[in-house]
Amino acid sequence: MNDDELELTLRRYKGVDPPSSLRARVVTARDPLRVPLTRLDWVLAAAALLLTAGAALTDPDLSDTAVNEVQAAWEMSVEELAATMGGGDEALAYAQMVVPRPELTPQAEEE
Amino acid sequence: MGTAEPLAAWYDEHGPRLYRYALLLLANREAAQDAVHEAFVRLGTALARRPPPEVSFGYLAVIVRNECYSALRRRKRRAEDPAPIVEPISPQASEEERLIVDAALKALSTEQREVVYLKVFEGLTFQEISDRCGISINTAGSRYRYAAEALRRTLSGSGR
Repeated sequence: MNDDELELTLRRYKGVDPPSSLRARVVTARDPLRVPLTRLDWVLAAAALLLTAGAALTDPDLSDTAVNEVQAAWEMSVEELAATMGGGDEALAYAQMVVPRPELTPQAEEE
Repeated sequence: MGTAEPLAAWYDEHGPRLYRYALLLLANREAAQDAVHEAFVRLGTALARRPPPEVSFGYLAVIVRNECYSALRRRKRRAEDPAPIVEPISPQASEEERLIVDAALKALSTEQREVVYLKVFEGLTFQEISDRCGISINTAGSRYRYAAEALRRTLSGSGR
């Protein structure tokens, strides 16, 4: 059996069609765990994050660890937004643009 | 306008083809339905924000493919689904041959089965397979060759 004969054999078949119930399922596709958020929601969330970061920055005992935690929180917000949009580079770039990046300077660097 | 109408339109146009793609990848009906459903959930979520610029089959296929591989990563082993993944469309096909083709396809690795599906059933070129799967043309070609050899062995061994 050569390649052509193999393909000829395989082309006598096709993938099985979906059950009719799948259409109704996807047409009302909703993820109950995912609350639809607007851009405003994300901006407000980012503002809350920045307030937290700002409070942390006024703390004279601010450590590198605290800075890293705020940075990590920002990254999580970005990743969550990107994932909600379906993932991918374009979504990630958009999320990075929408969620303001906190400007963090560890105490050690100010001294 | 809600999200149901465009989702219905996209499903009517691309849904069955997306499901067949997912089924060939996952070789499991329930998992394939979950993957297509999850892809439309993502689409519905994106639609609630703003309409995606273009919803082509290729766009949806990438989302479904991501869902399939995510599902495979989450569940290393899923109970084997004895239901067929292919059905006859030619009068030359026979039930005996279908069983053999079905088993031979299921015996391939996911990656090999995907390349066979895209090349034979979707008619994609190796360049297009390379783009879809994010692999080199050489890798697409070698995956197909190994898969074809395995399929030939099975089909020839059965006297075909």
